Amino acid sequence: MRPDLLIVGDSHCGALQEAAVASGLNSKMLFLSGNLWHENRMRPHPTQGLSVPHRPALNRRIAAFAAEAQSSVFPKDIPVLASIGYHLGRLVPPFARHGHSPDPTHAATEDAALFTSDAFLTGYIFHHRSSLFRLLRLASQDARLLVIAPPMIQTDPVALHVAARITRILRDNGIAVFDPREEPDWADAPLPEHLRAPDGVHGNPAYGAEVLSRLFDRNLIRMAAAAE
Amino acid sequence: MSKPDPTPYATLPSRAFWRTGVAAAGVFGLSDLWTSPWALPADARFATFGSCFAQHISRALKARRMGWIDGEPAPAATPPDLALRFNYGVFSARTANIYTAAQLRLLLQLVAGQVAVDAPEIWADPDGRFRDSLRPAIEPDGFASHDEAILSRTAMLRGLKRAITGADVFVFTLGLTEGWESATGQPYAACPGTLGGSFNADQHRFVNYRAAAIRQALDDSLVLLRGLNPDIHLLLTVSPVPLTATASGDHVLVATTRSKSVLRGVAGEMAEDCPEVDYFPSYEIITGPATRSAFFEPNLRSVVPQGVETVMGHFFQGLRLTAPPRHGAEAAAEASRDRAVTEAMAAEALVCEEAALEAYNAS
Repeated sequence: MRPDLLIVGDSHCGALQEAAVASGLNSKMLFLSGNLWHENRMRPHPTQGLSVPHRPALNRRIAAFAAEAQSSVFPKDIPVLASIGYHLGRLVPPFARHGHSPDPTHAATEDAALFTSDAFLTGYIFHHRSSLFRLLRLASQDARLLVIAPPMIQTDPVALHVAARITRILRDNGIAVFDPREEPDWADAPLPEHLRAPDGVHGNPAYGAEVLSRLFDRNLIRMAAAAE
Repeated sequence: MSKPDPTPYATLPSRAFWRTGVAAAGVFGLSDLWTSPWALPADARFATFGSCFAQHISRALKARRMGWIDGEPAPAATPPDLALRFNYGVFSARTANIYTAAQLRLLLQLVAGQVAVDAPEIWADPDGRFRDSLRPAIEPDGFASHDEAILSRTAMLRGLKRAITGADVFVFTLGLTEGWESATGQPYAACPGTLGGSFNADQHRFVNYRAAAIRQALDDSLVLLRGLNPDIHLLLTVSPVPLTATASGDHVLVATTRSKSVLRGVAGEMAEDCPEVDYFPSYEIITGPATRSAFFEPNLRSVVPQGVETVMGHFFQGLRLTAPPRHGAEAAAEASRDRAVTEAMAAEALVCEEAALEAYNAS
């Protein structure tokens, strides 16, 4: 049976997938580690949706997923939720290693901070994420793709700023994004305790359910499309 | 009648005579041009600033993995081309070229808090972007806002302070005597209207600094440097790169000679007067008659790589890194911080794997 929903991306897929399955959806998840996405080598693929040059084992895994889903990773007729493009755990620690901050308030108040301009940050993000942005831009042209930004459980101002900048870049490229930090009840504060996974990094299945509920409420996932 | 004493010249070494020291030696035979008066620690750290020729010194120190200090490095994992486009890693902080002693003094006054960080002008470009009058080309397209320019300047000053407090030697390459100032006396890095801003004859004035003013600016700078780091040494050099253009009214060749001669004279006298100051002769190595101008590119301005190599060869030969190392603890702390970041990233990667696998399990 073809799935109702595809969830593709890094470890933030987990909470969404658990919530989707718990709600009775036939949801399939393709999880590739943040390290792999961070390599910035993903390419669009005409049949399976994406591929990675010179990584045969990984490509077999992607192909197996596509076979099971009976579609590309980014099909035209099945909604796709993607936690792709951020991978902040790989991007932010090196960026901030020497005290750099692109956040004006943080840079102004932190004695040791080295401010970086928005132009530099943008260049830095593009260097590390350009292939993912291209992949998502091309996938968005045909697929019912919605990128889900990661929940901000910590309050690191550098991570918050970088994540917000990536969201802007994605939207500037015509990619639809649901950013939990833009939700009025989740903005300007860490994700509420009851929605956090014990690992301190991810949202839990309750968070995933809350996200899915908001997406359905706003008609951001059109499940009926799967049957078209 | 007693025999006359031999003249002082009778016992001088061959390097003291033009024929043996220069003419016969030839450009690659020059030797004993410079010896550091200071016994520096074996792991000595150098901060490099000044005119464009100072970039070569930064690069050579980095290439040799000597202690070149970078007070404002690019964020880790920045690709080299991006770092260069935003002028990271060129000098020991993102000051951009410091052409005059007056500029150096102003920067050090800013670091010391004697001048407010927002006092030097920020220029608004017609396209809505903003430029720092102290370093108008530091960002390829300028800054998005006045505030962003000030924040970036603040970061540069923090980086400059780190470089000064962490260095054993502050290498400063003097570039020009000619400069531009505001009506209130703020030195600019470039004439307004060339790299940013717009020129206004009523508000901007040309200055051709004289020796006394340069000496005063360098004396003030030395006091400021020693105030931040009492152990720091100041190594002065003069850029051999001629002026691109002169606003003095003289022919550019005459203006170049005037400029370089004044700088060379001031640097030499300061080194003679202050034990914590020395002069390194990069200017002489590149422009001396032995080279027959062979160390210049066809434009007779830019210095060819072999010239830079020759200069730096003399520099490294003359260094005395004979004192015990003193930066081991700092290096270990740096390495420890790097390790901590790597380990934290690895731990998070493991957490992420587990989170996703849990979801597969639930499916």
